[in-house]
Amino acid sequence: MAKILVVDDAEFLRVRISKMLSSEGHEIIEAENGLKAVETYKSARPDLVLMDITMPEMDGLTALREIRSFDSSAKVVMLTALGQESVVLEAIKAGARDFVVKPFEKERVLSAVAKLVG
Amino acid sequence: MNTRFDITEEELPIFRAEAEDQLQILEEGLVQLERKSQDQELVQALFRAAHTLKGSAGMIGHKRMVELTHALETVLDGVRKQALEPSSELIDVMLESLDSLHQLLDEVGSEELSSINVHSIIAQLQQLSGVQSGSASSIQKPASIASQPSEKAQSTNQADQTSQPLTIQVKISQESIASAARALQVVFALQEMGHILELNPPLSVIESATPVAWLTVMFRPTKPLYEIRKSLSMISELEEILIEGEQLKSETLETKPVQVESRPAPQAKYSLGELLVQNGLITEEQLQTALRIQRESEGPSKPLGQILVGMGWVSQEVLDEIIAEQSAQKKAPAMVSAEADTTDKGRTKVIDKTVRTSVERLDNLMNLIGELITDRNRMYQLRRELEALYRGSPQVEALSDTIIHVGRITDMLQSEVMSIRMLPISNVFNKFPRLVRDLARKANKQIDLVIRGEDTELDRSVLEVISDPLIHLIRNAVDHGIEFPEERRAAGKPERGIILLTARHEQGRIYITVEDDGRGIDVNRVKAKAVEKGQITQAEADAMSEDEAIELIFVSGLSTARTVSDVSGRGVGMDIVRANIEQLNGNIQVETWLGKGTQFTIILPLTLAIVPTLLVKVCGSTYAIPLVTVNETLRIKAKDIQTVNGRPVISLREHVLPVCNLGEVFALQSRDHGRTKNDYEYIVVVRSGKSQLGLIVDDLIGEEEVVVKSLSSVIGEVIGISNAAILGDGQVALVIDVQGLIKLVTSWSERSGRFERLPD
Repeated sequence: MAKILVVDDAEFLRVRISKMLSSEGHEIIEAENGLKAVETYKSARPDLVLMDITMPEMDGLTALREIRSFDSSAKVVMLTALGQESVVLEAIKAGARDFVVKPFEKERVLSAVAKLVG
Repeated sequence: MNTRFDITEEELPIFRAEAEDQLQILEEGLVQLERKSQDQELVQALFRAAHTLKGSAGMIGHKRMVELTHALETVLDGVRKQALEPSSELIDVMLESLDSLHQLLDEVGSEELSSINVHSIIAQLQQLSGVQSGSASSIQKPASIASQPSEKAQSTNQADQTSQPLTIQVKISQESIASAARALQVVFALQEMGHILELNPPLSVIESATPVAWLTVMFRPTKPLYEIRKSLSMISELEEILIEGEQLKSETLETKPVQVESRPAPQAKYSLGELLVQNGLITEEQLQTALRIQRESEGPSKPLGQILVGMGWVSQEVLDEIIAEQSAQKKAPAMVSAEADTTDKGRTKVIDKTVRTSVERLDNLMNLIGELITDRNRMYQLRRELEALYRGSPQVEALSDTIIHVGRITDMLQSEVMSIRMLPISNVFNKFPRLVRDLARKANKQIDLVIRGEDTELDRSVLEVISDPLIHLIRNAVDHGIEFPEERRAAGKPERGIILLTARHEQGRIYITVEDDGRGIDVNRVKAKAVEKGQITQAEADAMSEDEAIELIFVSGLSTARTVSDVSGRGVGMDIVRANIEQLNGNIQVETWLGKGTQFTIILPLTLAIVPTLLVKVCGSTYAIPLVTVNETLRIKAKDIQTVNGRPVISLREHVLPVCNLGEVFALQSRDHGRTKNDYEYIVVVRSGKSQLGLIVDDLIGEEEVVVKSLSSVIGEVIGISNAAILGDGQVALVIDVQGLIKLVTSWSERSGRFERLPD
């Protein structure tokens, strides 16, 4: 099973996503902002990152770039919200492998994850 | 289980706590924003909070909350882009929308729906900001991606001149919020697998974030078709993927030896050859041989599968099966995770080092510790008795050591549990910036609230009850303390007044101050008002010291504000504030400087359940006096107690201190054991506010932390007694209510027409 890093400043979201994924047998690690996500990525080397865009300390886009410059094969799925179309576009350019729009269904997250680390 | 929203019992407290945090950030930030509209970091933080809140609300399906947070986010986005000036009116409406959000948040986890009309407040937000909520998305021209094309595709440029172009059409779901991003994903994916000859819509259009429904790509592939399909199938929200010429080209495409010569790219791990090797159907050598044959054969090269079948290494049936499996994997990636479900779940590890628990459990824990402390005190007592009885007995010594150890552990347990129950006072303080802002705006005053020591921690039971008294003091400061700007200017002060709110720990107590730099309390006006209301006579007023007069503000029904305002000034307050604080075994003091300001200081014990007290003996019974009220203890000769105006007093450092005999107050039997004038009397000097009183007691026992139990449910209210406590020796001690006692003693003297005041 995959090791997945879930990054969101909202604990509620982290808990919910973690639960969705751990029920599929994935190992979950969490980070609450971009800065911690980059640190955690470097130390824990997850197979996949699910990351929010709007976060304190360091936003998801910047964290995505840092993670990708550290590991060009990093698989990052952005968690986004309505109104962030242009940021999503930037994220895809920066190498994000997918994006999931909040609010999302469990199936949507699971299929995004399965596509990348199935 | 809440049925209205998509949230579990377990998630509910996290959701609520976080939403409240975001609302708090918004509230504090908006108040600051009014004065710091250029603070980009602040605006960014506000925007983020609204955004996060919207995200969470969306996850539980709280539509009205989403709508309102979205409108708020839109306005903040406008401010962020400096298209909007955060006027006071706009901030008013934004703060109001926070109130609505609080109510909407309350709906989550409750069975009742609020009657909030989000649309009217959204309309107000839109009207004031001139922004339509729908246009929230920022449309920026993204930078060109010209530098992005795949290097791999370029390097293989020459090799695939021969391959036929494909026409690939993908339909992107209309549901997609960023169909352009999906289109871009398709473009990137295809760049990895060949050359894009033509794009419709063109890249520049896609990059401008224009929605894309259908994307058509003329494409010259360098990778096998199933890989292209697989790669595209990994992109979400693609409803249809049509590849023209697929049947014709698929076989030839497979002859391209690209992925085997180099190390397999991560995406290419399911190539047919590898799958066969993985399944043990052919060996790696056989694969390499077949690939070499494929490369070296002249003319149009044969598909790999056919070579393998031709060599007799695999049967046609097996080959078909593997190809079928390959496409099944692509189509149903979810199956993989479904299988995973049955595997070891024990490996799942959620890293979380905190545990959430309910307040009741903490309260129970605290109650149990209270019992333990009572027992510890009792054990200490027994230990002393045993040691006296069986001096030198090894068993008693061992028991004694154990008791000391248990006692120490109990102390540690208590402080540990107390620290768990501790919360920073910011939980209360943080609603005050908004309060002061709103009150000041209503009162047409300019006031800054300065907060210090918001990290100071107090027991949550104290925290819960301290809020109302503080609100009252702050209202008073705004209304009575701080002057109008013109008044301040005339007095040579800055137009903006300051209210300073501080908290600190000192000697096991908490000190909270509310200070303003306003006009101060005019003692003469306070006296005049009290006389006018008939609370004191003119003669009493004339005879009052300044300190005594200031104490009058704590008397019910007295307000010196010239006009009764919306904010405060109804004259019901300070008496209740004092009563509330003293109920917590606390103390409130006031100091004022005419024309310069007023400072209220609230002193509270660290926790409510366990109170440090001074134990005293009166007529054979033990009484506990909360240490927070004790100023000092004295030992004086009985003859030094004088009588002035029929009341016992002593002279303490050139001041006259009224004293009272606790035995008499509580109508205990006379304790006159034939003492002479030269015998000593113990006096405990207690205070409530600025009033002091000496309590004559028979003996001082010592300090002890006692666990207080309410008495009122058993015997009703008794003046002068607040609670009961169980002591170490098993006795019950009554806890003295100092404020009530001072009132009682004062009323005695008032009844007899002798208001206490002595010539200096």
